[in-house]
Amino acid sequence: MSKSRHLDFNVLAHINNMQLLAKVIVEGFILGLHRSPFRGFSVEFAEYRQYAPGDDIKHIDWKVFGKSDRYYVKQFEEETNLACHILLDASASMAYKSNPEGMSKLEYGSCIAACLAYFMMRQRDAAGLMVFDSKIRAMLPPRLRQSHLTHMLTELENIKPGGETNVSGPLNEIAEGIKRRGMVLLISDLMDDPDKVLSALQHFKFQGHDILVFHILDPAELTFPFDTMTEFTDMETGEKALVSPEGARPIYQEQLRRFLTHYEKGCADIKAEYKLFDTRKPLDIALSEYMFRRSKLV
Amino acid sequence: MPFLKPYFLIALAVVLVPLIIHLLTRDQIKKVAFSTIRFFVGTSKNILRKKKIREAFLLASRMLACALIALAFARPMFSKDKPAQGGRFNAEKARAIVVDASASMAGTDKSIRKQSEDALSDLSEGSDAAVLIGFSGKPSVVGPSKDFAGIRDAISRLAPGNGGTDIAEALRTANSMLSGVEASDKSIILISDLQRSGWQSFKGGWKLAPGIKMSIIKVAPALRSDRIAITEGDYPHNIVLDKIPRVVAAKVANFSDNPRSAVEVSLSVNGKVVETEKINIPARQAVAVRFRTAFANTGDNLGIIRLTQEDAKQLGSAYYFNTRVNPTITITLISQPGDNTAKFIAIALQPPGADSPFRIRMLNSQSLTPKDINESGIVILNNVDSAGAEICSALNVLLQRGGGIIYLPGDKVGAERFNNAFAAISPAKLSRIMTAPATDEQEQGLSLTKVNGEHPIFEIFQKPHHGDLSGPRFSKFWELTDSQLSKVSARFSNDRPAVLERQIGQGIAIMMTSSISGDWSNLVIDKGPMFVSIMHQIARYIAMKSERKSDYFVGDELKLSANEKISDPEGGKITDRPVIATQPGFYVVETGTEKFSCSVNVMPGEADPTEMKQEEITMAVVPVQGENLDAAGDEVLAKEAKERIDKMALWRYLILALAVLLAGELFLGNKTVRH
Repeated sequence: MSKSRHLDFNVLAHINNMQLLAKVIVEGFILGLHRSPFRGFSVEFAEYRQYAPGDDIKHIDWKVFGKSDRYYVKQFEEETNLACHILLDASASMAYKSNPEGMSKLEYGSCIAACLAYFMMRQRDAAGLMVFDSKIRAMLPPRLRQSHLTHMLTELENIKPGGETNVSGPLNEIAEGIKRRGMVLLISDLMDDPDKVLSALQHFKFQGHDILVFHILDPAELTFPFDTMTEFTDMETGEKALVSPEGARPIYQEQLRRFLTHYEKGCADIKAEYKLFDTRKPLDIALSEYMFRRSKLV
Repeated sequence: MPFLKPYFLIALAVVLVPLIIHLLTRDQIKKVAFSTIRFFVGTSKNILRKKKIREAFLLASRMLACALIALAFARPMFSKDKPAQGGRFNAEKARAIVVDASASMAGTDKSIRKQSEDALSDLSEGSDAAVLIGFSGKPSVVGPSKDFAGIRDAISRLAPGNGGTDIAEALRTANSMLSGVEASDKSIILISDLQRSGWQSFKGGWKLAPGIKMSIIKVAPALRSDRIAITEGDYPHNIVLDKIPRVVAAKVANFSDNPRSAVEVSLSVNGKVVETEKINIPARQAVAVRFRTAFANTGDNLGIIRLTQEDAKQLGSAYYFNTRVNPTITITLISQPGDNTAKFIAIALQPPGADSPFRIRMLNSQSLTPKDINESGIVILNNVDSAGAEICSALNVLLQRGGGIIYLPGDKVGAERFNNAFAAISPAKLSRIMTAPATDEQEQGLSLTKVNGEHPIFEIFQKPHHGDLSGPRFSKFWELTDSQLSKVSARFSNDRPAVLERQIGQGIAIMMTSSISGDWSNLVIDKGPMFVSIMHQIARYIAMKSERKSDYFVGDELKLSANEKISDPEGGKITDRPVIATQPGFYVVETGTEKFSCSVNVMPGEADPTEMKQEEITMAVVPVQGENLDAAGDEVLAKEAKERIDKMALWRYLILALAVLLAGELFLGNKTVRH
């Protein structure tokens, strides 16, 4: 997978069109559209204003006074530097793709992660990347440097599917390590015990993070389109099951419906944003849909 | 099981088609690496198991459906015949050799064997089929077969017996046999003396199947043309012991063209000649001869009417009969003290001054002893509802040894007491007294409507002027329970049992559910003669119930129970079953300690040497060209056609089964997922 593939400029251009919406939705997510309630480390000059009684004299620009013999006060705008933690599941199940020409869930998730990372960096938010399967495999803390973005994209490009999914374990571990409030974006197929995963997400919530869950599934996982007798091998456990799809389909779909409903309701309970993606969806539409939904929550 | 079109059985191979399709299209297992199997891992095994079972059923039902179609096309037929007799097959030529081996053919042994062998001579063993039908009484069939060894063996054993002639039946059998053989040349050869009496059973209405040719070979019998013979006998079959002479009669025919005078005819009973008559018989006529004799022995009285001047071995020179004499029956009539209906019963069964086969003893139920029962042949319990254990035991013994009990429950009977005492030895338990329902009929009371007219008790009333059974009216009757083991021979107009009986041991128990009392019915008061008749018939029925058919003709099957032994007129034991009478005389049946004789005579017509012409038979059974057999419309033909259709109707059931199977397959197929 090339870097340019992750940085799909058409996608990003389309998202640029949605910037106005994004400004309304996420505080500080797009820098400069409104004041952030968060205090940043850097302070940027905004404009001059004539001194008025009551103004702090330490803000008087004496150089301007020396040139113009008038008292002007420097005004500054505070920047938001949002720390966004992108948590990408790289377990074996994420390697599944029903269409050989299409994208696997991991590739799709990587694309989303890359796009968002790029987008955040443009908005001067710090983006970090954590890749995990049953344990944390890569951890890049949020930084606001261009080189950090390159580092993250390189990491995403080299990512390989790993072992069994254990979303809850690494999430708890990551939650322990993040001290600064920010946004947590989980990209996963969530093939773990929903209760454990939701419990781990709640861990982030307790720490004041805003949580977004991108649930990535392959279209075949949603529709179960198989039509011949099939021996399925679990990509994570290696367990096999000989299945007559016509007979198993209703059961599968019912189980899947319960599984998704469980996550959706659980996320709503902890006020986390949950969004189900299938890998057929164009990235821009996926992100746009997400932003639209996010706007409604504001 | 024979098939009308057996070549369609080749189509049974199509049962493999569903199997082949199943094997070709069975699921090819695809292997897929899937993200998780957590959503179906628990259910896949059950689903697969169910699917496999359903698919197995589907495959089986489809194969069975194919088999049913093939079988239906092969047109199987119901047949109780052995394959050797009813088997249907192809042959180039098929021939039925019909040989008359009746009594009238005596002395023609060599001739009929030679003619039969000649009839086989132009057939090719292995490609042609033959069937041998010999008849002496009922037809005996060997074949059809392409292997002539068995047929030749049967021919070598051909010999005239003592049976009767029935050419028509033999030809029908041959026709039936040949119609089942696919052959281009089918023929019947009849070898017979063409005795006219042997054609009397032919009533018309059937003809040989198209394509079957018939030729007749006449064999000259050894019968003397000037002979006389006894052609018929009449005698009392069963009588009650008395000293009254009975008439025994015989018809003696003169078959010659010359009159015969002073022909001696004797009657002997139990080995003694009791009377001899001399008669004159005009030419070509028959004369009846009558004897009067009293039969003194109880049990069998073996009689022979004989033409004393004729050769004893000559056909029709003797007529055998057995007159069974029953001893006087002792009837014990038991009533409760003060009952006034018993005297009517006594008078009915033993009218004062009249000669009755019954001897009535009237006893009080309270003074009854087991000895009284033991001395009785029949016991009538009139309005009696209780008896001691010893009495009940004696009544049971009475039934076991072949006696009878007549129950006449009335208003002095308590149901519970009756049931306690007699439930085990009565046709039913008593429940309660019912009165006629309050309808317009109430004043009239109930009548006897559903009466079994063939029952010995009631058959006499079927004759004209022998009483109207619908006349008596009944206003009360006993409702019954536990009558499942009993046979109801008459019912009231409300469908409740009126007369029922139950076989217990060797004896019989009969119950009339309405009393003869005047406030129960008018049977005694208004319908006295009918009451007398009914009581007599019931008593006679019980007394004579062991009577059995004792007169047969040669060729008939003698009716025997499983444990009975039988010996032929010459004293030889017969062990084969069923027993077919093969010679005239007395066959002795042994039942335990008792002996019983059956008289067997040659068919009367066998002695009549009158012949018929070949053309008569040919014209009767060979269809002329263009004759529409279906248009014959005769009852016999229709019956035969129906039987044939019924035999071939199995294909309809197969199609029905196929329809059911396909419906099931459709249902199961819709419920079964393909993958």
